[in-house]
Amino acid sequence: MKCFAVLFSLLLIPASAKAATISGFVTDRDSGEYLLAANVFLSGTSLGALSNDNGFYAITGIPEGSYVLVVSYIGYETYRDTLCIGPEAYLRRDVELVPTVLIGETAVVEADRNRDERLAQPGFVALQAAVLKELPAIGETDLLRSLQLLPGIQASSDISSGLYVRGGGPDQTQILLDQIPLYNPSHAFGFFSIFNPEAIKDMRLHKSAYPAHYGGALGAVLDVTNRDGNRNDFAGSGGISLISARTMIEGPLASGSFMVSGRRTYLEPILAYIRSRVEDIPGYYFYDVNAKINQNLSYSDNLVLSGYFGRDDLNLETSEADIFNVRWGNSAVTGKWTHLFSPTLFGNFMVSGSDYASRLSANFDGTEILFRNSIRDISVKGDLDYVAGGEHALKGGFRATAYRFRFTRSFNQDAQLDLRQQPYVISVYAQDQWQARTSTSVRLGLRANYYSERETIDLEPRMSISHRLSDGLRLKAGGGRYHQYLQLITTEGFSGGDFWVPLDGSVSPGQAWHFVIGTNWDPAPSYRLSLESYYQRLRNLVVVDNTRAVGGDETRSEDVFITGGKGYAAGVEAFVERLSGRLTGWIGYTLGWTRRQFPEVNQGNWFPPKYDRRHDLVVSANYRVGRWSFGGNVIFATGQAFTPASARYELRESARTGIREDYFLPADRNTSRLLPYHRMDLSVKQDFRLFDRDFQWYLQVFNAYNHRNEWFVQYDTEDEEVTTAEVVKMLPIVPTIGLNYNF
Amino acid sequence: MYKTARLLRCITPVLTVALLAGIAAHPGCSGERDPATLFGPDEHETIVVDAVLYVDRTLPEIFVTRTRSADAVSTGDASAVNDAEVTVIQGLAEYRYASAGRRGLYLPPPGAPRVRPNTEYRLHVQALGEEVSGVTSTPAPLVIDEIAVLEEPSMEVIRRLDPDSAAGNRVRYREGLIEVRFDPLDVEAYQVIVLEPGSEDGGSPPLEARDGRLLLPWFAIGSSGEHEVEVYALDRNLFDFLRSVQASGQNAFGFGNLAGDTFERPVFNLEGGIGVFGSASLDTFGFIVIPES
Repeated sequence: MKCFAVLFSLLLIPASAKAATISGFVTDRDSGEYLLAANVFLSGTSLGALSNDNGFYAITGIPEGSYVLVVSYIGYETYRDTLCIGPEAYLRRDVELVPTVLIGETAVVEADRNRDERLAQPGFVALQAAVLKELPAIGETDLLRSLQLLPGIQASSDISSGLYVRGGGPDQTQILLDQIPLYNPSHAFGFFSIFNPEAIKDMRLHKSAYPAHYGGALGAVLDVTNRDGNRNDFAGSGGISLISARTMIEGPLASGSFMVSGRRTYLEPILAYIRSRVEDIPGYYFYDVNAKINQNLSYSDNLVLSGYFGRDDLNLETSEADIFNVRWGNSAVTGKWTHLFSPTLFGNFMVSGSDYASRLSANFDGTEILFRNSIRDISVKGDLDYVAGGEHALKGGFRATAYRFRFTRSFNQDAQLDLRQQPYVISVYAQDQWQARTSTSVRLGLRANYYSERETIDLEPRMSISHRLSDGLRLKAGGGRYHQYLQLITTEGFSGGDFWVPLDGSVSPGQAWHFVIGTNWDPAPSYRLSLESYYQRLRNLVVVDNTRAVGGDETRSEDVFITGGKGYAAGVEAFVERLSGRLTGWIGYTLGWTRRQFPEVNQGNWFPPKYDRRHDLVVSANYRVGRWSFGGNVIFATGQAFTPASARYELRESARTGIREDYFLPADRNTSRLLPYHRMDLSVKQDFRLFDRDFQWYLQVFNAYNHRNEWFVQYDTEDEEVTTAEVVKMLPIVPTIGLNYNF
Repeated sequence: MYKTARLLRCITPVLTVALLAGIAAHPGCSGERDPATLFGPDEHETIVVDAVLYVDRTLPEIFVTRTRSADAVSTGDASAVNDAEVTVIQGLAEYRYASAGRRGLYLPPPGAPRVRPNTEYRLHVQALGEEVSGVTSTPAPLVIDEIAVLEEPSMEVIRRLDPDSAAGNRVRYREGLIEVRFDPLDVEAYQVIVLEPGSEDGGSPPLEARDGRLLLPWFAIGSSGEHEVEVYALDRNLFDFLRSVQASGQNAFGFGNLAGDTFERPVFNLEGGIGVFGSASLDTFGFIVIPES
């Protein structure tokens, strides 16, 4: 304890006794929102930093002299200020950046040219809400669907917002909202994500080789941050589309701000109308609410309370006797305190709770089938950011999460399974962002996890390096080891009513090694090119065992899953982006391979999962003329893998009844391909003012040339003589109109 | 740097148009699919065996057929193999089956014994130049001790039915849950088949019942009148086949044959061919369903 006190007191002292330190917060001038990952540097030196999640930055080890402080952030005018710094000085400099339109050539150019190597992390994507809203979508702007337009990220179908990142399934991507894990990020069986675009401030996606302060996922991490709320004025925004309405209100509150947003579908009257004419039309709705209160207790202390609540409900009543109901939703609440211990030491402490529950019930002629799953976690988390000198930015912290998990299954009133587990995970990590040379930045990290069900400590080393070869040309590489202790039970087609199951001691947790190498090239001020290759090696994969007998009282993970799986994903991604000008957008291409192998699946042979894609090409463009904006996406991808029927055979359904039934003999798993997927989306938007308020109407056309892409294949042996193979198609052309507003 | 910018500004629209043209011209974009490409490598002419032994019943008839191309047009008897050599072996005894000359049906020799419980039987089939073999271990006899009608949701016993008399077992539709009770056997699972007039119900999926209790689902009852319920104790081979063929999306609730999801080759436990060579013990009971109203 004494040692800890000494160490802590050392941290409170600015790191370099002979040099000066500058620190402060970077905010948006109009709204007062903290800006995370803003690039702060002293022009003409290698000294610089990125603002952290709370907008805080610190630059240490500054020799006496005169400097130009530059703060840049895409979408904002670059801030410049000349500073005269004396020896051993501490200078506090809070910076308010002025927002500018995205096509503002000058602002974007400066921001981009001064990009720091620290931003050039392998496998990293940052997307702001403004960019997100410009992309064509179906009905609603959607974060996860927009991400599917980036290289290395795929969708399983037109109706899926699930993220398949670099050969990993949706279960291998951890999704965080304000640092809280959300267990099911979808509404409407995956058609929409739970993220209300009005509430989002920023999102960061680590496609692989993610840093040590994240953990718990074999593949990727999506970290979404909601708006804090406008500290200066009351404001709001929203939108009305054909299927839902959404709104967000924000404003100053005491010494801080608040933000409340909500969204709800209004499909019920439409569905009821259709139901009055067509049988078997279900009732369905979803809603979600985000809220945040942000209070500055002092210059050094900030308190944030935030919450999310969302529900989906589908009810199908085909007759008095047959009822089918699926209901699921996430709830999350967080209390976060940030404290500036010293000009170079920043602390972030959080208590959070997240709850996901799903309930699937069916009643056929009085026989009830019921599945219920709930997973609740309570977490305590702490992070310290310490700028140890001009060359080292240290980060360390812990997270302790206690889970309460329950899964029940009953058939015909018979409680066949009542599985309860209360595992916990304790993680600690340390990370050093080291500016090894003027042109070289290295990030070294180590994370250690203790999982109560295994009673072992899993070590996860992480590393990334970024090296500037010349002005605008950088090499980057990274890697790390990852573990996953929770497993998702889902289907590849739909993501409603998913079940999460913690693995117990009978099964080793999934393990992955990631390796990434790539280059970034900024050949011209408004262009950026990147080329990245990745390789992921996976072990201890599990897949749910569908061949279990009904009524089995499985109590162990080894009873529920087929275990011992392994796999790999490898690929190359090319990305060309135009950041500014009237025409903005990108071309992304992925060449990828994904394979899996389980001893008890596909006769032990390697197979490509359904989402294995050899080629994936996306062209996304937006052209703005005055108040008009025209957008388009073109997508071309290798068809998904499927398992074809290779023969037909006949057996008696029951030797006693003698009834003969036709069966298919499947070929090896996923040995055929659907036809290549391609589609074009178009959008047109116009900004206008009405009643002294900003409005925007839009027309979006999904699948503009109405190409019915293949979804899956269904075989039919009802005809005793001929097998018919029906290809079920995905969505046709879907035009949508809507209105967005700001007030 | 700015020369590069100008160059990129020029080539970006050209590149975009070229990409779009390339995509549009790709053969896969035509949207026309050859139906044959929806089927996998042809595996026709694989021998299919259909043989299930029932404890305390005489050796059963056996069917030997062959697989057909998944997309082939066939006629009723096209898959039959009528010239196979079929032998069932138990210990030192060999039972050579005779072809009925139709539908791939083979009949046991006259005077064939009853199937013994807890006994290993082997099957050998020679046909189409191939040899198929399998082994089954028969379960112990299954005896239903009790049939109870339970009240929902308390699950209290309302009354008991007579396992030996269908006529006296009159149950109003959805009156309560019907539970079958027996001494559990050393088997992986059980199957229930409800036989009712005009029904072609093929039976339940494999059901675990380690406590020797099975609840009958009312949705298996499609009409009023007399019903016979057969409860089977399944050997490993039958259990493996039934559980895996159901899981592969065939005859299962939901998206049958959803390509790539769970469409998986069943577990046949046969060498040299596919199908089933399994065994089961069974007991039955009957009851009469009275309409709810």
